[in-house]
Amino acid sequence: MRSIIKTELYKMKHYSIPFIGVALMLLSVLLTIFTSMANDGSVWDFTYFTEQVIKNNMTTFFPACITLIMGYLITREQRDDTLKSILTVPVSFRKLLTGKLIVGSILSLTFGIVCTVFTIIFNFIAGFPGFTLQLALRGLIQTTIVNLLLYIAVMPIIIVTSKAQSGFLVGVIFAFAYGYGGMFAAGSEFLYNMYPITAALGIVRYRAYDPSVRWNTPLCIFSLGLTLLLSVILILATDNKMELKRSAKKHVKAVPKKGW
Amino acid sequence: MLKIIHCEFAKLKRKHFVFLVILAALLFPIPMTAMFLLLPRLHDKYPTAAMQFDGMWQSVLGFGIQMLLPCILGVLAAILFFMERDNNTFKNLRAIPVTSKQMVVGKIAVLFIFSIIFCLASTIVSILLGGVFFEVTGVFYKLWMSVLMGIMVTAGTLPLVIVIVLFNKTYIFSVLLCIFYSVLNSFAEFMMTELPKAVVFALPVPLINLWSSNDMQNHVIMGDADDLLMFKSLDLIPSTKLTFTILTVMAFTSVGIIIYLYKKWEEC
Repeated sequence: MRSIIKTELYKMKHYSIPFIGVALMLLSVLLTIFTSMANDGSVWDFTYFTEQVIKNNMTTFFPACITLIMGYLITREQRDDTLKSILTVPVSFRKLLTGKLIVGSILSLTFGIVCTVFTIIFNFIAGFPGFTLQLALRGLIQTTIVNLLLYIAVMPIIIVTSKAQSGFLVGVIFAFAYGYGGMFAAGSEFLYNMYPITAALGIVRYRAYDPSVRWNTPLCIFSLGLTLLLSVILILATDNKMELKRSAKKHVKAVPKKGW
Repeated sequence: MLKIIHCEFAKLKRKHFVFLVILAALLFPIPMTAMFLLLPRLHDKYPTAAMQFDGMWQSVLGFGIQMLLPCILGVLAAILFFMERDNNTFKNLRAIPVTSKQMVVGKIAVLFIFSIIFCLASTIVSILLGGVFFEVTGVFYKLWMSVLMGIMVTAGTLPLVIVIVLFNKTYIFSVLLCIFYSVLNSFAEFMMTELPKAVVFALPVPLINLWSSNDMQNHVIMGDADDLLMFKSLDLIPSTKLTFTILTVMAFTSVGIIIYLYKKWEEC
């Protein structure tokens, strides 16, 4: 497994995926700055800004984007016609998928760190008060762990839609609606503790200082644990029957007639 | 042209996209119905069953159609426009001959048809659920508004298709653009009163939302009547003529640019 993960990380060098992820984290922070223009009575300081970045990341960007990135990484083997070579090594598709999913968790953590860096930079540009190293560290831990937990929350969608070459695009649509559903789940205490997307916030104790927010951490862990268990079952149920790229007919070089 | 549209649908049939689009139309009506049934604060806001249904349907329009549909259309556009390039079928189509213009118009017609199917499916599912759990009124108006929404949202999403065709490298970038466009529109919707009027009217979702909420006030029970009054006082409600002019200009300009870009692709 270690060599599969190592190989996947090597392959990543050739892809533009990390840059796309970085661009996305930048967009997430920029859109949060855009919302700070709203005159809704909110007092913007570093803590509030970080919380808004985490919230916007959770409801709008991250679930759909990590589904897209992972779907692209998984189906790349089919598209580039390298899957058949990997299967003959032999590395089973289940092992390959597991390796790629582990790489996805590394990517999620990395995007969390990048997002925090952008949050700090844009906090200085926008001039929000209240920046301290301690708060920055808390922001880093919260953003990074939430990203990882959100990745776990969408993992079943990634696994289910990764078998067909363009199936992951459908997964992206579902992940987008699933992430946005977090906004509605916020209306009920049971729902926001049980819905995997919002449960990710409960585990990091997002806005736990607010008396109206009542996180039930064991319930949040249970919810995400169930999602992880579902992913494990889906991985175990995965076989090697993949949609392989249809080999195009090779051009047969016309043999010139001999003589006249 | 009908043959071209038929062929586009036949190509998509292999991707099982029609079924999945209809399935995606269920993403919001089901949880919205559950919310309107279970959340006490919504019962306070909408005391009668008819009001609850109208509130639920408006939420489906707002989130399921105005927010999710641009994203779905972007993904569909990427599939449709990259199909000929991926399968290397440009030259075969040109040999028939099918011109770039016909190809683009055919693919855009498919986008409009899909959009209408999606909107109608969302409303029909809402009506069915409403019939079971709430009280359904004004069915024809709601179906008509869904068809209009489908047409308007697609027209407003066509500028995004230009960008998809322009950055034709990978699906990943195109789909990310769709997500960004949907999110930007939805954020702008929350900030309509703070943004300059020109920006609000240039973004399709806030424009359609403002126009439709004004149109709906005479036909459905409005949950956010105070918001509408505020928009009116800020002179933010566009007239029907202005709304359709903006969307028509947006659509025709986009189609022209897409045809130009598609021709360039073929030459490459």
